[in-house]
Amino acid sequence: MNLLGIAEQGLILGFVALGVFMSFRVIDLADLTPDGSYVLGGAVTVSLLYRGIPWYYAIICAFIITGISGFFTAVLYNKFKMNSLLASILIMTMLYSVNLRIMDGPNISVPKDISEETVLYSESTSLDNFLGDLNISAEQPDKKENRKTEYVSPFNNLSDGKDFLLLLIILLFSITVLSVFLKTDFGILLRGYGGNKEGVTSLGVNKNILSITGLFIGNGFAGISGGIFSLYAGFSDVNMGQGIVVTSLAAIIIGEILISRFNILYNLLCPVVGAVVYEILLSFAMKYGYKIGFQPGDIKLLTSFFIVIVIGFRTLEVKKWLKLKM
Amino acid sequence: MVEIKNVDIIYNKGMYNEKKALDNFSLKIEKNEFITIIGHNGAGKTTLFKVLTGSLTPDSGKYIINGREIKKVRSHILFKKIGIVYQNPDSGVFPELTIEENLILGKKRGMRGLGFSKYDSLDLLTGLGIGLEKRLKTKVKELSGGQKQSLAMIIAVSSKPSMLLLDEHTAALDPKMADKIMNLTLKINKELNIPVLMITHNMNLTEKYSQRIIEISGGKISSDIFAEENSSSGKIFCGKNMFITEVV
Ligand SMILES: Nc1ncnc2c1ncn2[C@@H]1O[C@H](COP(=O)(O)OP(=O)(O)OP(=O)(O)O)[C@@H](O)[C@H]1O
Ligand SMILES: [Mg+2]
Repeated sequence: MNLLGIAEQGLILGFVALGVFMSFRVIDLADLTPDGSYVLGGAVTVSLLYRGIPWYYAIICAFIITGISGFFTAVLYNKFKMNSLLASILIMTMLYSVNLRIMDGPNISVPKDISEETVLYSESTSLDNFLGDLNISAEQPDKKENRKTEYVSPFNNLSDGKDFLLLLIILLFSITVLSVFLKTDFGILLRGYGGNKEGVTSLGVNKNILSITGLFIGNGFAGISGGIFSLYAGFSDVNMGQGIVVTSLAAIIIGEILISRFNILYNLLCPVVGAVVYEILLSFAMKYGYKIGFQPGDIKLLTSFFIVIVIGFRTLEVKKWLKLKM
Repeated sequence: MVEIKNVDIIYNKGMYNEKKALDNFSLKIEKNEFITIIGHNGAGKTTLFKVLTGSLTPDSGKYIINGREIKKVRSHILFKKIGIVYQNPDSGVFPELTIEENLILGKKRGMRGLGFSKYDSLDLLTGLGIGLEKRLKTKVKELSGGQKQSLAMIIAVSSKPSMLLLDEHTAALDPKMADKIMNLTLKINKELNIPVLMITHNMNLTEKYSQRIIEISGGKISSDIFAEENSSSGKIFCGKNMFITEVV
């Protein structure tokens, strides 16, 4: 088993888990939008790559655009007084159609490297030559050279540690920024809103701003995750977000079991550590599970079942019911 | 100084269950006043507070703060000027935050810090004498109801609001804690010069602490009496311009 590759997938999952942590834990709003915004992140990133935009700008755009989808969920929640679950299901469903539009189909692959496009240019050049003396060939050579030096995707999929390092750096940077943000007065307010939604109104704060901010960041990270996944896997698919919120919740719960007792960095490390452990557990299940009749399609069942069990065990009534003293 | 004039509040207007909760209601709250509001269940006391905080916009009437009429009542803006504490200790604090962070939010009311710097909320906390100042890093969800309520009071006043509203704020507390909270309430009124309006059903508290008692019934003020210190017999309650009720 390739542990490094699994860890890399865990880190990618870590981004969306971080986003889900933001909505479900920090501001305590159940938000299912990431099932759609994760794909939106991938769709935006890949289609921007086709426009020749470098991957890091594409990821930043994905963050902003998916953040805006979270903003719309917040608007339905605040202004239309919808339950956050219903609001997010509606936006998520809309995003399905939007994603099909953006990708112009159910999936889209990442332009692998520039050589494909180089071919395109030389073709058109020979066409121009054929057509006659349109004097644009002078521009062609340096265009070629410029683009040849850039790789479309930063990942080499070689499991040589470089991908892992890059992912880790981006993730640690994000966590640092988030934890600094949560330390500011506005961040305190955001965390306070999570525990007491009406209380912030008594402070003279417009609470709508807080749900908007929380859902923007939450979905923004889902977008980053979807974008990075697409770069890493080489494609974006309209169904790849299905169940991503549940998977993220499982990751968060695993992380909380492991490290929430230390209460560091507002528990922002829980979703990330949890995501890596989740991927490792998953790959074990895939590798050895067939012996007990386990199929890949059972993953969603098991993941959800895991969440039910953990939440159940935390609940006093279930403990009593099982006559456990923990 | 805060004043409301000829305010009507009608719930479910035009429906089968229409209910006039405040009826041509007027009240003037002078500087540093301590007003106790009493009245049976459903009299309209909480509704009065909702008007004062802008959670309800009156169907008619005026709302004046410091001589300026508030035309467009916007709740999250009014709350910057008005502190409020409810009966439920959980509603006035932020359970996921530490005591210290709760104090920060109190000071940063409306995120603009409304010029509050004269009084240190930590001093108020220390003054309570229940040791919370030594537990600043403790998460508030780990505190008892009385401790939360004390903190809620401090959060409500630490930006020096124009008025403090208390809706049965001691109802969920045992008598000893209720006394502590009442002492804090008086301190806020006397030392911070913040006018206080307190709703209560507790007649002991009413007699012990009140300067002015307003009774509401059916959405109207049914009596409005003042307490006067009398050297020979203690506290005497007088109606406007005339000597009436009981001696405590
Ligand atoms: N949201 C509402 N919708 C409809 N009617 C309401 C609403 N809130 C209050 N009322 C009605 O308005 C009247 C005044 O209610 P209010 O809450 O002000 O009473 P109160 O004096 O605070 O009573 P209590 O001592 O029980 O707290 C009551 O008859 C109540 O039924
Ligand atoms: Mg009431």
